[in-house]
Amino acid sequence: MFKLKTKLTSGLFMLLTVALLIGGASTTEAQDVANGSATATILTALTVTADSAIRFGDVLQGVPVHVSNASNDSSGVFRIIGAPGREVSIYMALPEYLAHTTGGQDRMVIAFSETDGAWDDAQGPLPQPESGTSTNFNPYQSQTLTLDAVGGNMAIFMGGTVRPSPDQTAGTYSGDIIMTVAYNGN
Amino acid sequence: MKKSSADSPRKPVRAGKRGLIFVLLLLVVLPIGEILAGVLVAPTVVFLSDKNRTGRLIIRNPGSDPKEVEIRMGFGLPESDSLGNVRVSLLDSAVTDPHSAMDWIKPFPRKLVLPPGGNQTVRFVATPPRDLPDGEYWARVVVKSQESQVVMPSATNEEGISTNLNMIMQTAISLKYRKGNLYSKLELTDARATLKDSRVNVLVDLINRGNVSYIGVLNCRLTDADNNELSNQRIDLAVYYDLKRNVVLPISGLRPKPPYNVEIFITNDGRTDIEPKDRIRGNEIKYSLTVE
Repeated sequence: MFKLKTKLTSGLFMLLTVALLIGGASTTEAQDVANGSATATILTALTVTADSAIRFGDVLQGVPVHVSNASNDSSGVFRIIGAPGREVSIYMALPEYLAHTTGGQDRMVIAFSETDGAWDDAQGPLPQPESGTSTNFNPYQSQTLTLDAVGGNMAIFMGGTVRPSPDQTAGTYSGDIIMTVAYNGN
Repeated sequence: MKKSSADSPRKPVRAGKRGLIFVLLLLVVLPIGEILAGVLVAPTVVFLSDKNRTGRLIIRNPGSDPKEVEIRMGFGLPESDSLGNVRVSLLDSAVTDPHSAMDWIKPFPRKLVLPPGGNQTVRFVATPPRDLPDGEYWARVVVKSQESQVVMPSATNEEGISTNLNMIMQTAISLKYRKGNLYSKLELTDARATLKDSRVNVLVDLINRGNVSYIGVLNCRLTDADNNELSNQRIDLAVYYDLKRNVVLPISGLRPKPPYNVEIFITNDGRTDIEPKDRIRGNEIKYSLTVE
């Protein structure tokens, strides 16, 4: 009897699987699909993407360059896609300087102000920093954010300032911005 | 003021073929078409147990460029400040929590390059210490990804200076190892509701009395003197030790009549992001209070 019930349950599960494949579900939202004694839970994924890096353009010796977090051309853009309405913690690890990529000793200072981060849960798949709907935050402090209630989206925009010295060596300088995302509720 | 609770112990269930089907299902239904770049990680909680010491995670690159992916173990629990704001702080070393599984769970592989459209299953193997007490042990799976081919910008003239910032993404996925008899029990030790401007701030103090993390949902409902609902909030809850949780309820509706009342309901039900076999049913809490 137990084996029969197990087979029936597995069969229903497979049927549900096939039904979902045909249906072509395309949402990240967790769903419960219940039918008789079989229940399939479609778990939620978490995706973090970096759509663009902060672009300072050409930098001149001794002349600081600031990039706003609200520039479609220059802002850094991260995007989070997860379960709609769920809370996440985000934490940014920011560089203090950029290192010369040819292995030289020279460094260039990079700084971030208390308003260089911005979040926006009202943006879709192609976040636009200039939309004017974002809220500034201090990127040195971890943030608790709620993903948007429909698509589970969250856009993070980053600005910053590089401060080259008057005798800064010419060349390309590189550094890492690391954004960590975790769900608060599990 | 009302309060009620009930709990029921449960043993972990071994994952079988359904687990494999489940993972295959995940790969098909995830929203691949909407993602332009980055790495997708699923599921968002990985469970291992003394009955099944291995687990798995799927990483997918839905983008059009290869991705460098690194997997390591960390530790971080949801913690709250005095205002009830909750956040997860990630630690990579010097973890002293006796419930940390960070040091004895290993991921395989740890580094890989995912081609466009590629999938990789990451497996976890637990080698827990002997005489581990019954209960639940925790870690975070940190998945770090970045473009594998970085194009260095160059200045428009030879004497110029250009910059390149690598935007690196990390997701910290919860991993739980369960052993022996498990029970989930939560206690509400205090709750306050205060009116400020046109909002009610609810502060709830919770303590975990079980030997597993309490994973559930916190529902808050604001009503007026005529029991008309003014607003409600539903928040996913994870209590590992203790947690102070803040909930903001706006006062809406036409001429709501004070005094206002808040009903709190906490339950394991309603968590659709965790498979039924991995849920450990605990007690429910019902509590009501008047807004000060």
